[in-house]
Parts: sequence; structure tokens; C-alpha cells
Amino acid sequence: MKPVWRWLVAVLLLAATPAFAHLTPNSAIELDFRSADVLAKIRIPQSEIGYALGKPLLSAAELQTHFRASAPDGRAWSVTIPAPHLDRSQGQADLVTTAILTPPPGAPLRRLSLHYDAIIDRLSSHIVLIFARSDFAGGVLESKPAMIGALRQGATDVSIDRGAGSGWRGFGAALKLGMRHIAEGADHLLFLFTLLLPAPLLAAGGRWRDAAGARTTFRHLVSIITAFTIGHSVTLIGGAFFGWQLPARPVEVGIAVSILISAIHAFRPLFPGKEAFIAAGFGLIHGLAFATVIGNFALEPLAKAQAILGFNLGIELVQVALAALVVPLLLWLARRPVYQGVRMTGAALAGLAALYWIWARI
Amino acid sequence: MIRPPIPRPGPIMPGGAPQTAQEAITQFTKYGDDWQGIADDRGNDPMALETVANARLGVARLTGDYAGYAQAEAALAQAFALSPAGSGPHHSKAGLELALHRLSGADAALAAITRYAVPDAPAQQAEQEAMRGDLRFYRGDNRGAMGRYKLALQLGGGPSSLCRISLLQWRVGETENALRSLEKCEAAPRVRTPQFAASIEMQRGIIELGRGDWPLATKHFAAADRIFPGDWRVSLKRAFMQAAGGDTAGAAKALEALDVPGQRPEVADSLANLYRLTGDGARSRQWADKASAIWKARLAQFPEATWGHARDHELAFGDRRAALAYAQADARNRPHGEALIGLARAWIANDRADLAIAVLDKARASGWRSVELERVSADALALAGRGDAAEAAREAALDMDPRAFDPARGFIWNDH
Repeated sequence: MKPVWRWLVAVLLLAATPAFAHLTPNSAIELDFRSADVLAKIRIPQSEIGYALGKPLLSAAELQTHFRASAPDGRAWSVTIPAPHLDRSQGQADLVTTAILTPPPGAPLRRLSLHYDAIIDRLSSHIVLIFARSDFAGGVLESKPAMIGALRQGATDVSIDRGAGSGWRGFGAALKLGMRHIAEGADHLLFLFTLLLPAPLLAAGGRWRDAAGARTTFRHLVSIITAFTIGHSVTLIGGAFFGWQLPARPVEVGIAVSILISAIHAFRPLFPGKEAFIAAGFGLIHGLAFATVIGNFALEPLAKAQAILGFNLGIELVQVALAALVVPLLLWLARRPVYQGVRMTGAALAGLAALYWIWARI
Repeated sequence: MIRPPIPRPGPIMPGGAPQTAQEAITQFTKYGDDWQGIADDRGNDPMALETVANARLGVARLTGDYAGYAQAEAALAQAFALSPAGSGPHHSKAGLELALHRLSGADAALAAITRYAVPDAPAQQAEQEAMRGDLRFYRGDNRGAMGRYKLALQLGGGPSSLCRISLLQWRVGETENALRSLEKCEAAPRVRTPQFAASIEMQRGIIELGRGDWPLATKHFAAADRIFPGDWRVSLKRAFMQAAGGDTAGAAKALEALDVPGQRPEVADSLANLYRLTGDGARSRQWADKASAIWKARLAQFPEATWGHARDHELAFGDRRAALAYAQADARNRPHGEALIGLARAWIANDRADLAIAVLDKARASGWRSVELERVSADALALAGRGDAAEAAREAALDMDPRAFDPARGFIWNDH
């Protein structure tokens, strides 16, 4: 899969529970390890409930009898199961609820045993997969949940030891996630660098003409990068904290359009001297895509703030590192006749890539 | 590379060959009965009995009724009893043994042919070479199989060899080559019987289904049904596509129409699966029980031909330990990719992801490439805690088939 699609698909699948290639549908429990409790999102295929029990649904009280958690010393955790609802987001009807598991006083939060036997007590062919979806303190923030184990008839208990946790580990994971996101998300970088292409030049008469001075160019470049950072940071925070969001597809198309406009601008000046505003404006759209990544981890406010900080810092680190490579080259090339060709070729390639992405994402 | 154009396929015979599956069954049955009469009259005619066997085999293939295989086997046994030592219907015997997955029996029959004083006709020699290729294929020697198929082609094997080459190319992940070989296969005969033309469409549909193009697969299955109506295997695929497309009630009706009591456990399993996926436990169990009874009978009668099916039945509706036993027997008998993937599933179901990974590696080492291989690898690797490798396998599956993990795929029973 192409890197850019990897991320689009990853974003779309963030809320998806991995299905098994098993011949029949499986249940899944996704765990979110938080600062004072553990959330357990239980997903049971409705068809398997019908097959096993001869009725379409399971109540919270029934589920309660199948789900237990205990501390290493044997004391029971409190397990609160809200009423389940039907969810069809994964192409089939699933019964879904999110249980809240709270340890007894003094018991470790990151070491517990789970017992679960709904459906598998009746069906030997049914499998329940256990995943760690998010464990901020454990440094786990992945687009795809990590499998902890599988339960089936005769093996209905799993011991979980997440090791020591700290806010720093979560921050580090978010930083890495941000770095990987921007490094693999070619479209974000292409937008920025296409916008930087004409930055060393002055526009006159509807065309890009002479090279600006080094100091002016440098200031110009820094303002574009900074504006992009501000733009995407605003919507990243808004998206993650206040739920600002748009469906993934228009956001992804918007990102491709931003590249196309930058490419046209690199070819012929559309908004000379105002690149920073454009960078900030389109940065808002790019930020919405970033926010989807963080917003799906069901993090608590403090962890979310740390995650946003780390994620954004990761993005900036890669952005600055690449800018440090590209900017001197631009400054050096801009004074040479060959630069017109470089700019035109770069603009054409970026434009073609953008058109392809627009076509592929619509 | 510029490839030579493939000629257009010849016309489909409008007469002179059965136009529907029912017509073919009737003709084969009558042909078999007539030759049985001749054999009975003559009393000692092995060739007449061989013809009976081939006719019964033809009926078995078209109806899914294993009684036909038993009758073919009996006719051949009688023919051998009447033949002088070292001679007899070895060619037909090899074909039957292969159909029943009895590789050593096919080996022995083909070996006997090499000791003939007078060689068989070139067309038969080509088919024998192709059967030697089949033996290599089922033993996991894909390269050796290809060598034999090409040799068969040189000997004048024609469509039969080209179709085998296509199947092998598909199994080693060369989908485009497989489709091209299928096109060549289709163009090889001067005129095509409806049954042959439909089988090409069916195989095209299976290939397209394997790479996630469900609408195109549906079209090919419909074309197969139009060209040679009434083939239950085609109807089964069409019902799967109907269910995967959301019309589960219509698919259930279509599948129930295919049921023949005491036969076609594949249909019973498909119905059990469909009803399970629609949450109707009572009906699902009813059909699973019917399938189970037929598989049990077949396990007693033709175990080699049944192990793979019984494995999948047990994995979904029965006992995972029994599934493992069948999977092991099948993989020992035919250690090719499909059986190894089935064994890996059974190991996973029996909490041995490590052993599943080992057999999947063996399948991969043989050159086998399929969505199913990657899908099951993803499961085994994830259970073994190798998240990154599992993710890579998952992506490989999605690269081959964007719908590799689509829940609707569950309606396509035995899609491997």
C-alpha cells in the first residue's frame, strides 16, 4: 500500500476492531489503560449471540455474569457495564458496550487478571480477542490495537501485566507517532514544500521574476513554516479537545486541493507575499487530519494534552529537520538560472500528485 | 514485453454436446448404463467397464454425489480383475485416484503406464504427464508441477494443460499470468462445449473473487450459469455472492434449492454458515448436523477426499481437536498450500500459533501465495505477539484483496 494511503486507511480504521481470518466471526475486547481505571470495549457479533443463545441481544446484567477482573492478590475489581447497543460500523451488526474496570483500593492498576466467557461458554468455535487499544502511560499509542491474547472455551482467563507506566512514556509515544505520521504522510510535506518553492522569488507582472535577498527569503520561509504549524496546531487542539471534526474523506480531499493550489501558485503567483496566510489556512485542514489520530485514543484530558503536545512536537521535529535540509538548498538554487526549471518541474510534479490524490480520494 | 495476441475462442457448440448440467447428467448416466449393459453382455470386457467408470465419474463430478465415485471405483476394480497382469485401465484409475486425493494410488497407476510395452496415444501421454504435474502440485512442489504441465503442453495437452498451468499460476500469486493462460486455454479448442466454456467463466470468477472484485466475479459466475445452466457448484458461488451482497434471504432460498438429502454437504455447510451469520442458531445447527452426518459417511468411504472439508466443518461447527486431526491427515497426504493453510487454522484453533506459523512458512517456501495465506498468517503472528509481522501480513492480504477482511466475506464458505 502506498504510504499516503496507509495513513488514510489507518485513520479510517482507527475505530475498527481487527477481524480474524477465523472461519466464523470473533468477539473482541479492547482495553484502554487510564490513570485510575481501565475501559474495556466489548464487541460481540450479534449473529454469534443468536447462534449461541437463540436470542438477538445480551443485556448488561447478563454480560456482567461473564466478565470479571481481579487484582494479583485475588481481590475483585469493580466492573460496571453500561447497557450495550448495536453498532453496524464494521459491516456487520455487533453488540457493543464499554465496561469500566476499577481496581480495589491499593491494588495495582496495570496488573490484573481478566475472566470472560460470554458466548465461548456455549460455542467451542468462538474466539474472543483481547487488545490493548491505548495505554498512554505504557507508551502505547498505535493506530492499530496490539493483541494481548485470545480467549476460547477452556481458556477463559488472561493475565495482564502492563509494566510500569509514566506520563513521559506516553509523551514519548505521542512524539514518535507525530514523527511517523508526518514522515509517512507525504501529502502534508508536499503541501509545505510546494508552498516553499516560490518563496525565494519576487513576483512581478503575474510571473515569478528575480530572487529576493537571502534575509528576506529566510524570513519568508520561516513565516510560512510557522504559519502552517500554527494552523494545524489550532485544529489539532480543537479537534482533539472540542470535537471539531469533518468526515475523513473531505479532509483528505481538502489536503490534496491544498497541494494543487500550492502547485499552481509555484507555477504562476496567485497570492504573492501572502503564502503565510495560505499556509495557516490550509494548515487548519491538515490539523483536522492530525486530530483524528489523537482523538480516537479515548485519552483522559491530561493524557490528551500531553499526547497533543508530543504529537505536535514530533510533527515539528520532522518538519524542521527537513526544512533545515531544503531551505539552504532553496537559498543556494534561487540565485541560479536553473532554479526556474527546478520550480516549474517541482510545481508540475506536485500538481500531478495532487490531481491523482483528488481523483483517488473522491 | 510484447506478448503475442491470443486467438479468439472458438464458438460454443449449439448442439452435439449437453447444453445444461441436467442434460449432461442424463447423458452420462445413460451412457454409463448402456456400457454397463454391454459389459454385462460381454462378460469380460475391461474397456467397456473403463467407459462405465468414466461415465460414473462424470456424473459424480456434476452431481456432487460420491456414489458415482464408488461406482467408478467398482467398475475399474472389475476391469482390472479381468485384465492380464500389468495391463488394465491405469489411465482412468490415475484420474479417479487423483479425484479422490489418493496420491499414492495415482502414483502407482501412472508408474504402471510407464511399463507398457506399447506406449499410449500422444493425447493420453500428455494427460498422464499433466497428472504427474498434479501429483507434484499436491505435494507442494510447484516448480516441479509447472515443469510437468509444460511438458504435457508440448506433448499436445492443449486446454487441459493450459487450465492446469493457469490454476498453478494463480496459486503462486501470478494472477495476470493465470488469467492469460486461462484465455489461452479457452482459445485452444476449435469449438467449445458449453460445459468447458462455463468452467472457464467459473475459474475467472474465482480468480476475481480472490482479488476482491466481487462485481466482476458475480458477472463471471452469472456467465457460467448462462452458458451451462444448472451446475450446482456455479449456483453455490452465485448464492455466496448474493449473500455477500446483502440478500441473505434470497441466498438461503437459492442454497436450499441446491440441497439434495444425503449429498452435497458443502451446501449444508454453506447454509449452516449463512444461518449462523444471520443469527439463526436453530437452523444453523440443523444444517450443520446434516453436513456432519454426510461428512462422517464420506470419511468412512473416501477419507482422503474428505479430510479437508471435514476440517473446515469441525473448525466452524464442531470440535477443534477433531479438526486438527483431519487437518494433519490432509496435510500429510497433500502437503500443498491449501492443506497447509488449513492445518495452520487448526493449530490456531488449538492454541498453537507457533506451529501455525511454521506450516505457513512451509507453504510460503513452496511458492504458494494467496490472500488466505496472508490472512491466516496475520492471525497466527498476532497471537504469537509479533504485531509488526502480523501487520505486514495483513497489509499483504489487503494488497492482494482490498476486501480481505470484509465481514461480508464470511458468507463465502470455503473460500480458500
